Amino acid sequence: MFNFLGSLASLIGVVFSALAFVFSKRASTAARQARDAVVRQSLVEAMSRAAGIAAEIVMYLKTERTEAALLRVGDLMSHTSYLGGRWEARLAKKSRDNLARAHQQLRFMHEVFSASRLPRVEEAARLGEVGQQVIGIFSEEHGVAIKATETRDEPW
Amino acid sequence: MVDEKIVKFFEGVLSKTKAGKILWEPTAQEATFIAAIGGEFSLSISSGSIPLSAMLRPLPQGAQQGLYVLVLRDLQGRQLAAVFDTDEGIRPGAMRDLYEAARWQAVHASQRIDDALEVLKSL
Repeated sequence: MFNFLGSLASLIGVVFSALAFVFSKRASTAARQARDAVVRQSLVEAMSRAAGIAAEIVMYLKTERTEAALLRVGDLMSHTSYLGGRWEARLAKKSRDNLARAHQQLRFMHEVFSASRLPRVEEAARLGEVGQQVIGIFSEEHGVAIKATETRDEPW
Repeated sequence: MVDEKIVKFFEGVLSKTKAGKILWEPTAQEATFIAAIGGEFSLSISSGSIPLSAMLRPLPQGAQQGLYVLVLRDLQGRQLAAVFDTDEGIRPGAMRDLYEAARWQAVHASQRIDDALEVLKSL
């Protein structure tokens, strides 16, 4: 009789342990998913901000507000460096390449703006083209980040 | 002293560019082209006046107008290396070849010349 009760208690113990394991696994998965969702949302916001600054730069170019454009180019260079540092390990190769391209384009825009004269006509045209390209890069990356939040895919 | 690693890097960029494996693109500076590689690095090549951003180290001896410079950066934009055409170990004319190959690809010169030929035919 005692043997039977002992075996039953052991069996119940095993069942409870298994249940505890399953529930803790689920809780850990839920916590990880919640953390990933926050991380993805943070990336969406960062890319959205970058696309917004890029659009501002083009607007300043169109209205010939060179100093304001120069300031925002500097801001976007810093922000792009931050994106590279913060997300390097998680972004896909194509996204990392896009960030590197954007950073380089901004660097050379900055040098043109920093020259102690107004950009020449052909330089202004190139600045406009490159500005549009930078908007395109960040808009694309913004879209990729949003898609990742919707599909819960890893954008990285 | 020849920096063999730098020479190897330069030759690698040259051969991959000629093979069309590196996608160069124009920048706001007419004589500068850029490319991203491997999701880790970016390259720029400039001709004529050297961009301020390449001036991490003093210009090599003999540097003059017409100088070319190839710069390697990491994802955060930090400069890792700059190779000048006057550096020891760089074959004469090889940097110009790289610049021209990058420019040709970046401005889609082949396609544009085809277009121009079509225009000429129609004249």
